[in-house]
Amino acid sequence: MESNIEQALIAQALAGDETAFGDLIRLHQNAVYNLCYRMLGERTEAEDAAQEAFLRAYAHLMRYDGARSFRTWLLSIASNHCIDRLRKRRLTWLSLDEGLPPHPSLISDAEQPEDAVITSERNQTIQMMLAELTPEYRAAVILRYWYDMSYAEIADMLDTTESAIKSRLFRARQVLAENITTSKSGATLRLALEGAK
Amino acid sequence: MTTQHKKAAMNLAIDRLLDEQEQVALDEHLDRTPEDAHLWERMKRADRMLRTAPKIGAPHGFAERMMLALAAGSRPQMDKRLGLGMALGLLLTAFTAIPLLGIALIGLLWVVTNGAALGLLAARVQIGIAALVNLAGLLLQQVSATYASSPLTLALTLAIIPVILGWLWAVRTFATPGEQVTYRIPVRIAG
Repeated sequence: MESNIEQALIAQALAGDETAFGDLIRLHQNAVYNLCYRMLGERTEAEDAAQEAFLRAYAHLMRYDGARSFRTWLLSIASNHCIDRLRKRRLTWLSLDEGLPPHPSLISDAEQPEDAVITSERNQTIQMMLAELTPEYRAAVILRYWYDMSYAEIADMLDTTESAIKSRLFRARQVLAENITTSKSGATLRLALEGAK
Repeated sequence: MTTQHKKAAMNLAIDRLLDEQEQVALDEHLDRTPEDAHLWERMKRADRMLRTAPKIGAPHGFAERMMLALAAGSRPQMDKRLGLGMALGLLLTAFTAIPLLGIALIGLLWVVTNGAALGLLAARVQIGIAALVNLAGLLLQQVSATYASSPLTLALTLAIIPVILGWLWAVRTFATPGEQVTYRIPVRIAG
């Protein structure tokens, strides 16, 4: 049913109806934004990347294959765009006058009661762990954990083979496991792990 | 259990895709190898943490800001207008240039087919070339006279050459166009 509505919206958007595309955005904004946020680790950049992914999807809507899931197609655009962004990222040099950036919990835009602090700390820890992975490994992990995609689906989205995805996931899991024991932010990590139980 | 097999088995086990027999083989391997068992435990902790991580929803007003960006980015329409303007300009230029080119072509044909006119044209061209050669000769004479009277002028002229070459190199190296960056200003819509 939902798929029929989605297909109708796609057809309308293809005919030039921007409002129909707006409805498609509302349907998939959370999935696309979460992917961008998990990939990039920063809310403003995630919003910019999600916006860019939707704009690209709109510009290339005629290339969309109706036999495929629209959500998967969108996520594929977003993940590849985020991988490109991460590759282009350059080192940011901090001047001594500027000092170190504030603690993640201080720059979070979420409400900060006790539970929110724990959730926020946990989120930051997860982002710190993901940041240790290369863009390709990160994309595989995010698609597997947050979108429950099969190896074949991830391989299709990232334009690679299923065995490459298995290998990336294993390497990524190894890196994450190593970081769990070697992480310096022990307190944050303990909180995060307790929250995960 | 080979390293490759162990790797595949751990991956599948984490994703709950390992069949019973393979799971038993993996458990036996982990019982025998404390190092792998330690890694396996840490991998499970990381897995648990990721599995329970929440999805972060799009910020408030994202879809509305997206619609604004879509409306602002209706570049194809703008390009169409630009294309139309350019086509009209080209059409106007063609309408002006065609009669002029026609007149020039008729004149050229008349000169080529008329012997006397051709002779006259050849004589004029010859005079023109002679005048240019004279002018160049005069200029050369003037330059050599200047250099002979003041050798410093020659040295300065020669010094300018590496400066120009250096400047061209600097322009080529440092003035290459960079990547175009688009900045978007987030706009919050009330409601």
